[in-house]
Amino acid sequence: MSSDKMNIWILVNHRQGTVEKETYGLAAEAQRLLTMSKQNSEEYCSDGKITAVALGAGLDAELKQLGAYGINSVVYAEGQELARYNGELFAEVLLKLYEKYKPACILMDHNTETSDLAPRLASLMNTSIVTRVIDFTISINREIAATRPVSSGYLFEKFKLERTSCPVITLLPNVLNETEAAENRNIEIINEKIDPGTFNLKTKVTEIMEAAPEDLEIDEAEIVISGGRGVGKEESLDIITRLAKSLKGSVGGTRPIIDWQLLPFERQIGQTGKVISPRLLFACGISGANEYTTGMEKSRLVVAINTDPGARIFKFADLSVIGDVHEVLPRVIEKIEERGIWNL
Amino acid sequence: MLAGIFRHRSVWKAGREESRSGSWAGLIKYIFEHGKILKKRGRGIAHFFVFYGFFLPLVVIILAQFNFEIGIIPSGIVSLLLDIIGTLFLTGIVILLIRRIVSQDSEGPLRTIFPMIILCVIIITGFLAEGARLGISGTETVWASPVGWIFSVFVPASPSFMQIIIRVHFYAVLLFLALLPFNFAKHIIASSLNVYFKRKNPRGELNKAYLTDDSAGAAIVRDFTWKQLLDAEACVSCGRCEENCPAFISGKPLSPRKIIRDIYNLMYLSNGEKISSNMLESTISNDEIWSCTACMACVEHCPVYAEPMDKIIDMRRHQVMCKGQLPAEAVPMIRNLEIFGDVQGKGAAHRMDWAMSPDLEFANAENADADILLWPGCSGAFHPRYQEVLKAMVKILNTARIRFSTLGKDELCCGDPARRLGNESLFLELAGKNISSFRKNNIKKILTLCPHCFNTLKNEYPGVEKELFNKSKENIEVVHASEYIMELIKVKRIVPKYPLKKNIAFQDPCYLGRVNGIYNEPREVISSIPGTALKELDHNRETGFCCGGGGGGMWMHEHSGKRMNVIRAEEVAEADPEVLCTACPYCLTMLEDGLSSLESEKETKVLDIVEIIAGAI
Repeated sequence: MSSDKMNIWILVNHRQGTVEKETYGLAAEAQRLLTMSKQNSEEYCSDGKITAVALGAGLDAELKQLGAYGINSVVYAEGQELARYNGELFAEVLLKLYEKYKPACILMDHNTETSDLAPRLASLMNTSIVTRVIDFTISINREIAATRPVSSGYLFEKFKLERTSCPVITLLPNVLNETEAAENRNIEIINEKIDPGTFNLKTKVTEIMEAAPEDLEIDEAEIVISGGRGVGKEESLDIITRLAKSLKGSVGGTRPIIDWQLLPFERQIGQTGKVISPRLLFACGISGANEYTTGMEKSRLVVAINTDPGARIFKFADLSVIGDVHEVLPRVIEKIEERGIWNL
Repeated sequence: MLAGIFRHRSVWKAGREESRSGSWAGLIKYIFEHGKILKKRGRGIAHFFVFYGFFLPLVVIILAQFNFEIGIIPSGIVSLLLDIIGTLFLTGIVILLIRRIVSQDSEGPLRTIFPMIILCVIIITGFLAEGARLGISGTETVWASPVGWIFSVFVPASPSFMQIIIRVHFYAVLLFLALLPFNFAKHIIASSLNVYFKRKNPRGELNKAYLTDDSAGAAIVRDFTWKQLLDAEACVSCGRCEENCPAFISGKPLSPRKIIRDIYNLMYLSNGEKISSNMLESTISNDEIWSCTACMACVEHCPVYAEPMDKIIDMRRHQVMCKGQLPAEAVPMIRNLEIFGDVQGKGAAHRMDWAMSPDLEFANAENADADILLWPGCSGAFHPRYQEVLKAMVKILNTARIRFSTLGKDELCCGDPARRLGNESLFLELAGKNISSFRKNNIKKILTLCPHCFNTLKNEYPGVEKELFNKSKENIEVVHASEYIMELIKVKRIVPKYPLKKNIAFQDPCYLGRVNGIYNEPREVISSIPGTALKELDHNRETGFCCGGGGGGMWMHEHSGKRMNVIRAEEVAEADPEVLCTACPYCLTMLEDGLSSLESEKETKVLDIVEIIAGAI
């Protein structure tokens, strides 16, 4: 911490040109750290600042919005090579930026990319790292500490970190609260020109093969379309797959669907299958027996389609549609294909 | 021969210590009545003949060594009887011999046909000798030896031939006795011993887990007790266990016979001494031990009282408590038990949610002066379908003006799923807390709806109390709803008046029927409703077919073969009752699902016995 202001860095998480909500959560977390220091009346921290670091391409417009979340400035490394995640390159770029700006700490949200990136970066920086953190404190007079769950959440372990270096912290997404946007302020965007040729990279990306969204694991997918006995056997399930394709979701099923061998066992939702909590779940032709609902109770938004108005699944639904799946869904798919997913 | 017997004894005695006492009366009754063996008609009768064909002539021969006189007529009758018995013996042994030869079991014929052939030789030479004797000494007592007479027609009437045959007969007898410990015939001793030492504890009480500082359950053959190893020694590989095993029938990779035979083979391979550490695991796969539903059909049908199921549970205990190898689907349920104390993971705060209704008002056990404690169980408290059944029970209790209470939020899972999935420490924790609650509230009598809770509370808790608290108090009386309802009907506290449906079939829950012998009460309860006819399913009472939900089956995926609940549902659909009645939350869920998966036009309704009575009063 050589600079006289505490500068907290957060890594911008973006996908397909849009900043993900976890970034706002990180901003709020950084804000909390600064406020905490202020309450402890630490002169040094009281006018600390939050800097967002973004690596990517074509993000200018999106990054300007960050002012609404209490972020003071943005360091933006732009380049076509950075449009897609590449662990080795990203770590080298961040190291270079770190050496230039010397922040107090680097916060990231814990996801599949950062669980690769954070250890690489920390090792290049020769600093401490804690992953899957649920609580983090940093201040000048007090200890720097991080807490994380172990043994499947039964226990917690707390780390005390060296004060002399800049720790790399990845925070679990479910502790990152979504924050309301305030009025946007103009923020400074510092463009950093990066020439990947200057790094001595040992790996090279030769080909990128995209998985179809419907092939995603059901417990990882954000949108899941699930079908039950009411959808019918054989080709009847195609309607579910079609909806999944148009919504870019994954496909799951109840036990009968798996018994009919229309889907593999990995796609079973429920007591003897997987427990899922997607942001959006379609339950089509599913009556909602306890053995199924055990596996989906924690889903965020649930749309249920069933011919029986008394079906138990409607108790769990945010939107209940009484009707035949094969009549309702083709029209839904038609509308989605007409207007695109986000303009319904 | 004696050396052979003692060698065998040393092998199974290498097992762990277990205190067992024997019963001579039980053994004698078992052998002479032959009831357990006769349960399987054809082969049972064949064995009956072979046993008496072996035993009675032996008695006659021993008696014949003494000098005493009996008249011509009595001796003729004895001779005639021996002839008849000998013929039946020969028929029996030929039937069993053919069965063993055509048997699919590869080791069956090799082990068993040799002693059987010796027995054939003994009996045939016996008849030949008799025939030769008749040929020589004339035929004035021919009525007493009909078989001998037939043989005398084509046997040479030569004394030297008779001498040779009698010698062959005698040597064959000696050979049979000398080789007795070394072949299949050893079951005469081993199986008798196993019957002598048969279980005196309730059948539903699992053995205490074997726990040491660095191991749990059965990792190696020597982790079994000597009685468990004697089970393997006593096994005759008759196959009745697998014929009745729902996992085997539905095409799962489990045969209780194979489990026992594997243990037997390993026990001799290691010779009771040098035991390689992981042999048990590599011989009996995890797929096998996790296919078991703990329905106890194998235990029920074993003619020599061997118990394959407790060995499976002991191997599960090792997998779970030493290696953390529980099928992935069952992990969340076990975790829910650890954290929340119920199988659904809803937590104590929600345990009384089912009772949140103005018409459901009753006391908490803490300050109640109640006749009985109602035990809703996790299914009654949390499963939406079984909550209906629980409410029906409350209606019955109110109608009968029974003062009852519940433990309320202090109730925890009884621990049955944890114990049968091999997590003994979790079971002990849950059981210990429940027992403390019972004693704190001075509970005298408990009413359960779920047969699994019933079995655990009734048969396993007394043992746990002794183990954990080191004191045995007066046992708390535990009754199942079907028994209790029958009691209420008998004393006319409730009167079923309104006929519901004509044809009601009854699914025997394993833990009510087979494990606790309650077959009649539910049937009496159903029959007590006017205008109701009870329809028996093909598999009923002792042969009742498991729904697939027990032994943790509710939380495991059936990876291969046909689904057990579908097999049972097909049988129900064939019998075509209007209502299928059961008395277990697992059966209810599994069979409702099984029947709806048949997708037949006419859907059979599945109701709990409690709902049926609540609808009839």
